[in-house]
Amino acid sequence: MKFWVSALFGILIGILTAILVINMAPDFLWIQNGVWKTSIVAGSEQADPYTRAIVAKNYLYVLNKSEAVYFIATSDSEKELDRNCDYRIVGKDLPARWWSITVYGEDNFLIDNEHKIYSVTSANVVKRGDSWEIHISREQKGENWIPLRGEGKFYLTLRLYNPESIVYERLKEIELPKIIREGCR
Amino acid sequence: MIKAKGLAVIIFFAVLSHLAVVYAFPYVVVMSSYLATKDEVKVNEVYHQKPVDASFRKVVMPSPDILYSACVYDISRSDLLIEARVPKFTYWSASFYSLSTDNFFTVNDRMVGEKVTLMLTTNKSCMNEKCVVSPSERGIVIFRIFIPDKSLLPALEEFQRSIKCKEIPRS
Repeated sequence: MKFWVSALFGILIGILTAILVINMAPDFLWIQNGVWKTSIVAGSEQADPYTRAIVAKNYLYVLNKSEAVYFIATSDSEKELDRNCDYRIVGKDLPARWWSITVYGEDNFLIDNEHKIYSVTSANVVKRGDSWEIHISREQKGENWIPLRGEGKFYLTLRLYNPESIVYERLKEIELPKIIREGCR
Repeated sequence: MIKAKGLAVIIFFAVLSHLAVVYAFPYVVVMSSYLATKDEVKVNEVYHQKPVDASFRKVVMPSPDILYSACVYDISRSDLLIEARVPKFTYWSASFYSLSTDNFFTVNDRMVGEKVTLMLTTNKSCMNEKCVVSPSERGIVIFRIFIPDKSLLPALEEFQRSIKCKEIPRS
């Protein structure tokens, strides 16, 4: 009887710790570049079981690194990204065939808005020389605007499709867009 | 002594169940998504998705800038013939995922001509250059076409409609 109680207790601990790890997606599984994080093995056959589980929960069917590199930002330099704040994303041409920045809610889906604008891409971004600014806010602020609606947190995904070799060589150092919080309500 | 034995049992079962959940998790997620979409998405047939918006809830983190199509496959009894016309003015790719969610093969518009034909099989000895060997009998092929401009949608949807997935009996 005591054996089965201990076994059941062990199984419960095992299940709970597994769910905890999958939900928390610990930092050691990621490569950090400023506020952006990425995984070079996500989606690939080299992925470890933990990465596979985390990818299945949050980023199902991502492309492997030969095709695309995904960077995720859940915060600016100080705080988690909040739908009650306005943000300016400042960047330059990125070393890839094409790129996009997309806004997602905590549920990993697009945030509903009446304009049906969810992203800015290298094909539609309005640039000044080789640099650009994207505004993520409730009210429209100039060009390259992604509307924020609702309450709670959100995150950004930067996709680099067919990235240049420098992306793989300097994953931690390549210059990625800066996320600047402009004010909160 | 009894306490130490009890602790060993707890640790043994905790490690075992922890690893089992982590290993099984991707399979559970994939099978759940297949079940959730089984009325719309038929096995070994192509499914074309309209450009996604916030109402799309089938797969997490969808890109609103991509036109998606998919073939959920089961090649336990037959191979799968995949054919498509490939646009040369924008990004196009076909990505093959095993049941464990690994992206084991991808081909994009830069690697092929204006038409592509592939044969998805589990036969590891298939020597034909069109053969793509899947590590699992079940999985999914996802086709992506980048939408550089919404005005190009009608033309891109024609390329999307050209994607075909067809069962081919094994010889």
